Amino acid sequence: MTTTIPLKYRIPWKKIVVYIAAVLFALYLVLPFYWIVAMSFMHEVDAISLPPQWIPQDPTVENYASFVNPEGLQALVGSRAVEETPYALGNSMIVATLTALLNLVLGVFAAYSFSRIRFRGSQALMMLYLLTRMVPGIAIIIPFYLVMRELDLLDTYLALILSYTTFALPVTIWVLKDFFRAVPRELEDAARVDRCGWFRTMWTVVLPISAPGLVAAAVFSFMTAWNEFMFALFLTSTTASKTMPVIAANFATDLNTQFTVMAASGVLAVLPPLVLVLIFQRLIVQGMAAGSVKG
Amino acid sequence: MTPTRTQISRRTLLGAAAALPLLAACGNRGGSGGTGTVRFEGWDYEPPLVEENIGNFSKLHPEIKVQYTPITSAQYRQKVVAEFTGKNGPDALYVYDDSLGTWVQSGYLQPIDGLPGVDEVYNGIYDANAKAMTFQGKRYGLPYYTDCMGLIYNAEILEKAGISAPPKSLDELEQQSLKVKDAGLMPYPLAFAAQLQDTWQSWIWALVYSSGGQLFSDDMKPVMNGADPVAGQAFEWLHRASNQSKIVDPASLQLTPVPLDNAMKAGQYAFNFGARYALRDYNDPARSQQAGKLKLAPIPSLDGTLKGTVGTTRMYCLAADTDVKDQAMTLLNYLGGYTDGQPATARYWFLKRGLGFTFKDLAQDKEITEALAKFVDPTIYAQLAEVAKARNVVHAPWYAEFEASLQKTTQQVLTNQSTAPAAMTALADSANALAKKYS
Amino acid sequence: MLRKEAAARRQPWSDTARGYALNVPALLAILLLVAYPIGYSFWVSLHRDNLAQPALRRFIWFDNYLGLFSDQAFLRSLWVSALFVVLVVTVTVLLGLSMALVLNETFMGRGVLRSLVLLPWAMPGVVNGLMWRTVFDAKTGALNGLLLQLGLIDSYQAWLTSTTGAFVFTAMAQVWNTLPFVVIVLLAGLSTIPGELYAAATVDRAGVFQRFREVTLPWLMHPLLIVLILETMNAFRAFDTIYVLTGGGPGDTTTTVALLTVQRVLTFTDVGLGSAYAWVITLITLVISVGYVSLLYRRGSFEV
Repeated sequence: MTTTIPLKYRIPWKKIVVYIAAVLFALYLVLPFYWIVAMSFMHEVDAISLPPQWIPQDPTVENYASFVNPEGLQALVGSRAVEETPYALGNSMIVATLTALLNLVLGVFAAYSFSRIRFRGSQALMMLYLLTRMVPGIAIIIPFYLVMRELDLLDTYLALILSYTTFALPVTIWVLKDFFRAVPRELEDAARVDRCGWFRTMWTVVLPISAPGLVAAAVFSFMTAWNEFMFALFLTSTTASKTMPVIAANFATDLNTQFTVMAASGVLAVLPPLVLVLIFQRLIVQGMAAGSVKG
Repeated sequence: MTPTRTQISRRTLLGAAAALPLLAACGNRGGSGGTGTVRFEGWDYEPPLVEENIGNFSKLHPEIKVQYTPITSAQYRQKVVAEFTGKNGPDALYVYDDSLGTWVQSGYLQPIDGLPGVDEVYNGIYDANAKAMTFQGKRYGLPYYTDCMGLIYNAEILEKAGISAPPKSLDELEQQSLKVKDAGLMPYPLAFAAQLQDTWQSWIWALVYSSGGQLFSDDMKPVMNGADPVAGQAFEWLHRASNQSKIVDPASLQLTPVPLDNAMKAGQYAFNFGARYALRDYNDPARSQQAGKLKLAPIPSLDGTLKGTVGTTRMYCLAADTDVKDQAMTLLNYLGGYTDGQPATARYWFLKRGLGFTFKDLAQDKEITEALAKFVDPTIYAQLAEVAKARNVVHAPWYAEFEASLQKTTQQVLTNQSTAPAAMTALADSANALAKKYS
Repeated sequence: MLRKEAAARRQPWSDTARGYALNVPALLAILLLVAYPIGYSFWVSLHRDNLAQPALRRFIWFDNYLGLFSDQAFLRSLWVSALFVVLVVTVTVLLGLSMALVLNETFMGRGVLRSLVLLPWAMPGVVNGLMWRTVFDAKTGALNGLLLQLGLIDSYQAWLTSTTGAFVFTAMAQVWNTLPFVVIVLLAGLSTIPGELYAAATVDRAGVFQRFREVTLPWLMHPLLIVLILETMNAFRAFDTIYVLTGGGPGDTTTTVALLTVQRVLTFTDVGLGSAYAWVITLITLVISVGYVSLLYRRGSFEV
């Protein structure tokens, strides 16, 4: 540090690096997705033209329109996927939302017990929850199918919600417990002095303070449900419960509909959860900061 | 917009508690059991046409209700296996000849010998198709369609490259492709659907069968690395075509059949190996830019003479545990048999989509021959049918697993990870290991 | 002391009872829905059981597991998975860390970038595979178009058909999909570092890298380990994206153990051996987790 240049004339290297990196990262994150968004607004001819049209020259919404009115499409196989897209979108929303809610309801009590009550075997119990998560889905898919068939739940929302809940619950509990632990005990003690029972204490004191954690956990389970493919493939068979990943796989394997329609369905599959994370962006980061990080 | 079906009844909840440990053992059928509805499933080739045809059936038999569910082709086998495993299978269903042996042995299907209509159908169809639907001496299927493989070429592109007749030998195919390439018409004139998939890769078998080769002896022992040198030589050619003369599009590894069809219809390739019925679609002006230019020839062989090709039979079968056997059989007879003395559905599929028929009489049918002449040369069409053979190992329990390793090995040859002789050794080893594993 | 204990015993609910009572809903859900399938799948893994050959079904103790040592396809897929995990986890963590560091600075548009970083999270694995397929496409892909316009290639390439190409590009598609989680956790970790520490280091005239090593990294150990555990598990079970992108090819270049297991169970209906595969995956996941956990323990800050 023998430089003689006065401080205020120093080139702000750090700022420059940060801005360059920020731009590069933004491009990396957005460009691939931008490409399918752009394609979803193109005619098929433009989508496969060389060089690629980075901005649709002759934009159209007919790809999106085809989901509502699929008659115009020429398709031998895969035309089904187009017709089923609107239903699948609705199904995915319902399943993911209900999964997130059910997870919170089940998870909150368990997490509260781990954070506030010292009881024998609590460590072992937490391990047990996490252990169930280590068995890969493929190991249990056939017995799980049998269970759902026996309960007469095949091709219903409930089958999906129940299976996704079991996937997301251990992590939900794990994350929430750390949140609750971060709530200062004095607050609870104050509530207890006011002769609130533990349930009211939790409801009126702990939960509101842990809102970011609840949101983070809910978003996490929503995503788990929204993204899951294999169980959805086997547990569903009609528009009564088929979800978006199943439809997307149809496009991938039986592709006969155009690239552009496939791109449009991809965009639709991303939009709802994207809106969700954008709304809760601040809470999610905050939530993670207060929760899982401190372990 | 979305129909809800989240009913959870008290019965269900009680069932949950009581039934869990017994699940594997008990097997009352869910779904249609008792309601008299025939549950019918198939892979999703043209579901609207299937629905239309079932609508016709319902007019003839208003007393039989049919619930039809199309299933994504790529997951058809897995899905059906999962359903049967869960005792939740359909009553009637499409079956690939590839799966017949396995599904019979798994107990999913029942023989239909002696049931009404079956003898008439088996008397009216070609022997090869009858054989493909027969397993261990029992009949299991009524025919959906049959087809065999040929070389499909774009006559206009060949003409532009100064070629007047399609290739007869594999060497000629290579030279013509190089000509097309050198004329600057396209970088890769030949493409195959070589992406890994669960159904068979017909073009690999076609390449071997058209030169008169075999991968297995009739008692299902591998011969590709010894007794029968033809497969090795054909793979030698494939290795050269993709790695030295580079006429095979490297993007083949990412192609599944339908996108390959689309590329052919867009004039992006000069050659591919395809099923005959594809030409109905390829030469339909409403569906193809290249309509009228795509033609059929036998698949070139090593020595340039026509020795054979590979064919396949798709069928309708009856589930072993169906509660509505009579109704399901009536449906099966409508789809795969005669209605008023006519193979009505087979004719319907041929006229609509060109799907090959198994009924001998249709070959002389005027309406059929006229429709045929519109999209393909009838002489070559018939010629291929005469020499077509079924794969002699489709009914082996290990067939699906062998097919997977055949596809992987072929990809390795295409990408120069493996030489032809090494590929043959690997295939033979794999076949021997599988035979042992399944014994 | 004695009286206190007696008092506690007189309470209608002891802490232990209360603890378990609160866990009843979650435990019921897990036990009713998962315990049976898990137990069943282990039981099946001790059988020779191919659905196609019901007559040959029989109990064979651990033969399925012993056979794995000579199962070439399985060993090869384990190797592919190991490479895949190393590549994906390394790139994800390095990229995620640098993004988190940038996002922790103040600059114009930080809010926007913080939102953008969540974008890949919203994408189902299957759709992710589809998207990258159109990007890497040999004929019409955006990557080809871009590189050609930038003058970096002379002609369109079939990226996913060479062995290294398929492997690296599949890994990159996976990285893109799993990045958000890593960035969020690390960013959260960074935001808990007290500003005074940096101020102190700056006063000591510590360089950027020195500050990173001496201040940032120690604070990030815990979040980094969480990321490592979860990302390793994820990469080890990666299925959707690979299934759509390459199907495991060319040859078996991208056939990971997860992909092979799905194929064994669902395509070859070999549920006995397939379940054994799945249990090996479980075991490896467990060992890796225990490894990480014991690392955490040594750092003295761990409690599940």
